[in-house]
Amino acid sequence: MAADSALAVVGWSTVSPIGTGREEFSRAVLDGRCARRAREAHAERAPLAAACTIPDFDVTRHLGARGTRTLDRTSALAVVSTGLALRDAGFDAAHDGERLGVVVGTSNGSLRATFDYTSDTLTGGKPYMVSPELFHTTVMNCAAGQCAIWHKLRALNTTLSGGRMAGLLGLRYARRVLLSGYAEGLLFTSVDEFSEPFAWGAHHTFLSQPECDALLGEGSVTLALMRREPALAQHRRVHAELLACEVGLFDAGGAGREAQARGLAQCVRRALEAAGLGPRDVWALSRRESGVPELDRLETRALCLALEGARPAWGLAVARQVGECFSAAGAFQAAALMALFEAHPDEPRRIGLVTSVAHGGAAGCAVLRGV
Amino acid sequence: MQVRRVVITGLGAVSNIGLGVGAFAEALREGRSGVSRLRGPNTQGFPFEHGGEVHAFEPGRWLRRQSPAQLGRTSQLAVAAARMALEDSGLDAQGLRARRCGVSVGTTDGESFAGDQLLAGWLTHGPRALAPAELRKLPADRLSAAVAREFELEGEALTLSTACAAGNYAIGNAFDAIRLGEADAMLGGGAESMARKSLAAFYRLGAVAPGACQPFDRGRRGIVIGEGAGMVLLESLDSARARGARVYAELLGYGLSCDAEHPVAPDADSIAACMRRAHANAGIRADEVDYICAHGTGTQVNDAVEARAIHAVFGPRVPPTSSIKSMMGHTMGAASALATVACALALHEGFMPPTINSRDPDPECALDSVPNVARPAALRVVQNNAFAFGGNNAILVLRRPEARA
Repeated sequence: MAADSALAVVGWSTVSPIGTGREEFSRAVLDGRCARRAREAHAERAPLAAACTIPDFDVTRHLGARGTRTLDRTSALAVVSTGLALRDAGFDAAHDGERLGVVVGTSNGSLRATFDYTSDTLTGGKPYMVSPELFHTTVMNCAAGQCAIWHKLRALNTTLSGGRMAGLLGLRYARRVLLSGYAEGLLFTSVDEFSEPFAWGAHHTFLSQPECDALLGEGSVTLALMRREPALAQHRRVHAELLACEVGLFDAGGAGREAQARGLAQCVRRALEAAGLGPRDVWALSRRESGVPELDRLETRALCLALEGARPAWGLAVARQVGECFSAAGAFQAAALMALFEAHPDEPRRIGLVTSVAHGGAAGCAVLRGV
Repeated sequence: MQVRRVVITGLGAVSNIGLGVGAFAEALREGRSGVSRLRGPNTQGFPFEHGGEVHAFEPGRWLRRQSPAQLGRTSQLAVAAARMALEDSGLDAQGLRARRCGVSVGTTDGESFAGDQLLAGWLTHGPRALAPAELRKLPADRLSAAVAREFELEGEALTLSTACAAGNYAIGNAFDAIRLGEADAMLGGGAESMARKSLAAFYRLGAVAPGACQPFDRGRRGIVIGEGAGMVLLESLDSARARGARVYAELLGYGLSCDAEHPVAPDADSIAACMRRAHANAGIRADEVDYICAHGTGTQVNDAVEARAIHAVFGPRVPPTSSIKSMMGHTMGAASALATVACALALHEGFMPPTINSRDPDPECALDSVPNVARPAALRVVQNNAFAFGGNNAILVLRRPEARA
């Protein structure tokens, strides 16, 4: 990536299981706080002993009571973290709304809302005995629409379904639209809520496998992004620069997912090269690692291959603290890295990697620099 | 960075009016309707009987590296349309890989039918009995991954879920990727299959027509829900020229906007702004647009608002504006992708697709909706509108390829 194609993170925030807001989250990450909460066994509930849920999330505390009644949890989390990041960045939507956009990274939107809504079509007297006012909560772009409505962001509005890769895919999309000029500032929000349908899905597809000790989590993370040049010209506070982000789709089969490991290693190498850096420049790793053994192992293998013996000073695995947050995971990794950057202001070369892998074979790596 | 030009060299359409670009083009010219009595198991029990199901689709015919059983219907449709576009372009999978090809697919509901089935199972047998293999089909990111897997593409696979504008978002994203030099070719489009949730929801919103879909007609009473997939192969102009590819159209650029007002009601000012941004990004003036492929869903409110925005932007020179949803119904995430295919054909072959079922054009819309009969026209620049619930709008501008000097 040439120097003029870097992005600046000019603000960020989160609603997370270990804290709300940039400062509270940063303290909690560095303190090693974990949000593991035991769950009561119950016939209807997925057989998870624990999960990292956000305690007592009350949207009215952030947005007031008016207009929040029909907000589903996914949208509510997204709207709140977007608002916090807007303030953190000092963006003025009243003045600049036509030049500010929002991109939301999700898996399938709010599974709970879709589940409840579609249940009504199957259990009501007629298949159309559903609530018209709740329909919009079941469409995957609902959260993005709500973020725009609440915060008056008019330049652009995109939703991407990236699942575990939503963080890195969203950073690439954000870079594309900012460099192409569709917006001057962008709020990139990735979000997933904990729900029983989600938990059952996870239980059946990976959580119940032997050796898996992942905890499911939930949360919303928003990064306020701009192209680096104007951010510097406007004397904005820059928390980190996004220097590169590479992704790919590889063969997920074979012993140890070897092809996917090599693919991730390739993404790491390409990202470092695009950033004009090498393995020895890496100061910190912010890993995807969440307790899903085959994915964690392939990530370790890939980093071994790509770093060629270099040993970064720091290794973070924030999913061990906030849980496996799917769409929000990548952004949590970036947030944890930025918390680390901020805690070491005198360290001259704070280069961090955010790596990600998914069950279907996708993999990727982003390179961030602390400023 | 030098600005790279982007062209469309392959078209794929899985639609209720025709399978494959040849049949699709013929159907557009004929003004054929693809609407029929709903037959699918998840479509029964509603007080309306018609929809735009794709009846003749055989996934096994189009999927070569993946078994249909591994994929939900929406992914199958997307992969089939992608294969059609690739075959149409004259390139093969190796040619895509050599061009660092990525994939960009739009959808509204993803694998909603698979979701319906899983949920029905849950309600009958409880959540313990859910099948992992079926659950794995569900995530919407599978749509773009399925297309990438079919051609062993190792680049970026992205699913954009911007509801009824998703096709334009996906194709626009593909355009940007080539423009910025991230890739030399991209597969972009949209896919959707019939979903119980949509049928229920749109009906309850009062948006489903009891009879035909009649965009811009005074008697219009709503949408007809359809399914399908449209995919285009985009290439850099250099790549297309180097291999002597047939170029259907040049994609000049696109505009984005967001209403930020209401979760479902469209906003004329925001739509007008989107059109102006599209023109500016494409480097054209409004008076250069020869034809608009409308969003034109057939609801009272959409068509009125869209017409108002068109008049605001085009002033006295409003181009003919037709809606192919009159033929296929509203294919949701596939709609603007199929419309992009239609626009490329319109430019290449020199005709405007009609708005069929037109009996009494609405004077309040005051548009030449190309009623009922396709019209030959030497089109140079066309515009493709797409708006969505949530207020996310995307409009593409395409131009007939220039004669080679």
